[in-house]
Amino acid sequence: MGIYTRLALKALSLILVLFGVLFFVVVIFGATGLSDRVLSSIINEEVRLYRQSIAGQIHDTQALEEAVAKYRRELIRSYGLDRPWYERLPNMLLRVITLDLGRARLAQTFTGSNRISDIIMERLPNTVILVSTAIAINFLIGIFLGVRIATRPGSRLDRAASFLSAISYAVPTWWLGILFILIFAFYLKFFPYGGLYSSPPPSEPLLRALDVIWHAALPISVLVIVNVGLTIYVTRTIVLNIAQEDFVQVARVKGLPENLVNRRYIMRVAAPPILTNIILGLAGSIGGAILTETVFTWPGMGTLFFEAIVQSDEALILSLVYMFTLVYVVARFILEVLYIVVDPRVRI
Amino acid sequence: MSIKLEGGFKIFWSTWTGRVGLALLIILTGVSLYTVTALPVAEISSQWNNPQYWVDYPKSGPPAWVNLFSEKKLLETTTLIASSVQLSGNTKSIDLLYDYRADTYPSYLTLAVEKLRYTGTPPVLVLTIVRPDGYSVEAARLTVPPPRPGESPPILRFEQAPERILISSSDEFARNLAQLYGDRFDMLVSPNRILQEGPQRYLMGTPREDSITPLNGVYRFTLTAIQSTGETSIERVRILIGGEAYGVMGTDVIGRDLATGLLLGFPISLFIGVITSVIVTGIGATLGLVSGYMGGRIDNIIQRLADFVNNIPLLPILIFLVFSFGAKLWIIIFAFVAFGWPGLTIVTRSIVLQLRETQFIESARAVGASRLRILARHIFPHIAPFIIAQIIFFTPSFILLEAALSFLGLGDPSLPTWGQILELGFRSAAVYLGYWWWILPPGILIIITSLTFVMISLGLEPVVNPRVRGRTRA
Repeated sequence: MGIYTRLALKALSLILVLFGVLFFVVVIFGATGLSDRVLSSIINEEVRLYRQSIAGQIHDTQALEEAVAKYRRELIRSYGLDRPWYERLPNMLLRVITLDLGRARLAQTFTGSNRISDIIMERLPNTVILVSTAIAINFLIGIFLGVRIATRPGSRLDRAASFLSAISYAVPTWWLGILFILIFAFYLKFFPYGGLYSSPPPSEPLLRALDVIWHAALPISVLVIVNVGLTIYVTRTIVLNIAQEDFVQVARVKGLPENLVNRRYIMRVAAPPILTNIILGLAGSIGGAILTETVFTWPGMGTLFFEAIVQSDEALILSLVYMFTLVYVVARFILEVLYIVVDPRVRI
Repeated sequence: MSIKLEGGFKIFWSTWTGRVGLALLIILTGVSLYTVTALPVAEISSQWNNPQYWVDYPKSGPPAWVNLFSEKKLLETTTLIASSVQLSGNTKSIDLLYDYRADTYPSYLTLAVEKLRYTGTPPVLVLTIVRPDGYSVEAARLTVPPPRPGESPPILRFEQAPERILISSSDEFARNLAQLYGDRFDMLVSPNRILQEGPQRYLMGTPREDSITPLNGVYRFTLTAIQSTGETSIERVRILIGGEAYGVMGTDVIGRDLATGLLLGFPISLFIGVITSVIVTGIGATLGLVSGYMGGRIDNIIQRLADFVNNIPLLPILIFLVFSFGAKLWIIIFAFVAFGWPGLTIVTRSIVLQLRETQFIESARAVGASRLRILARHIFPHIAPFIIAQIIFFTPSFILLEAALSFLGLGDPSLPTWGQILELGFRSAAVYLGYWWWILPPGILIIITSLTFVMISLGLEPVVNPRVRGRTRA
């Protein structure tokens, strides 16, 4: 199998996942009657706008009402609200994919638009910045420490790492966030309670960037602390297992410098499984980000998710499930490409 | 088998994680059993959502024991209770004593009379308070309604809901206090001013250099029944002295006793974690067994499906499911099961694939044992310890998931869980106001519960997977 076939297959299966999730979600949406509610609220909104636009031209109330009612009937037919939900399934799927789901109930963009696509497009970069920074830091620390610890198994550092990984598994990210706010924002006042900028945000670009970093410090530390223990531990175990293999012993016996053995013989083999581990942890990181953003009122898609739940905004929730799956699928694909780079076997 | 089990336990017990985990598990189970059996759980959890039961408690009150560590002594909310009170014959009154030791005044005073029964003439209940300095003041007067036409004695009153009198905002009480201050201390204060500043301040204070300072000491609350003929009995009399601090764990923003909520959280979170884990493991392992041993098309279908479900980001889809179908406990568990099984299926399958090629399976097949028999008698016993370890290993992840959903506002509202307590805390800005007693305990309990299972599964690792035995000893 060539690289491209492999990548194409991966892409295909990921797209299948995306569509599978979408299909599943839209079916549930239709079957529980939620899609009716979303569509009728879209229609109500359009009818309201229509009434406003023609109110100046038609002064006879009865004629106005008739025209509005006629317009409403047309809309109901064109949106398919007169048909059962399974018949308008393809249409609904298309709406979700293009994020054409009308307006959010209360959520707004910074400039005041309440169109769902606008809101999500404004929030998406914030989430991507937060999550990717956290994942990157997590794996830089995790791999660096994991490899170092693997050279002295059973040491105090090793036991500390395994303890930390148990903690990783048991501590809810979001509660650690709350704890950090209580300690570092409420009592010590080192960091802000949450948000993206101070208000008002500094106008100078450099200060503005520093302001964002200052606001991101707590959420990113939380995401890293909760995940890094596991990364260290897994990396250490993978590296340790490989270091005990015969070919590594042979390399050592041959008298190759330790540095070279580590780089060429151990890390070269350990890289693919470590990367697999990153891939497996991705879904969890995205879930953790929803909660962490909420706790720190970081204006990303996670906080938006929380707002949508609180406001029972069905359309917004549907769009967010789609967007989170999309983000996940794209991230997966990027990592698959990276996998090909680090694992020469798949290139043959 | 028993020898094997015993040996396994010895290995488990030799790890410190195993010992600590098991001890914690026993404590958690004990608390849960105590909550479920010794406390009227159904009653308490309905009280949790019923304002009548906690309306009198302080709002966002810290636990009473903060007084041990702080300079300024906060007043602890105290309830004086007298049960099965008989006011008949010579004893027409009962006394309740309250030892007041604090630097702050009570925020309110209430009297509640529950299920009163009388014969003869309708009684009038009078509450008098005697201060430590000996002066007494009438605080409340409650006229019990006379019999309705057709009602025959004994007459039952205040049976549906207790009759509550908010003493601290009664005009009558304020007037009596004004008179007391005028007569005894030569201090002229208008009843209106007393009402504005709070009568409890004047009741539990004494004038010193133009201002009122707290008068610590024992206060006697006397409830008397004035009745010309007949007798009166009351099932319960409660006098509530509202302070800022409350109980062992404090209260939340609407005044609920957090200790109750936290206690109820034990059985619920253990139940959700263990039940879900058992079901998920059962389904996941069965599918893995079938998939690995049958091979062919069944294997292919199961593996494709597992791969697919495994690739879905869990939390968004769970949020969606619970949101669409409603936040009920069984829906939450169902959603966890529907999306939790694939990981185990994939792992079990790979173990079965290895086992299938071993010689003892081959010989069983050669002897002519059926597929089902081989699965049940030869393969299953080999992976059973692994499956049990997995049940324990998966339990905390479901406890944490439920807490996460609850925190997002998708917990089952009829059952108070730790996640929901935190949700309300977060939403009512407890974090920004520094209400640590509300934020820390639920989270710590979630962590301890999860850690219990993590430790047990760490302790089980050398039992299930003999290769790591040497390593943990090193």
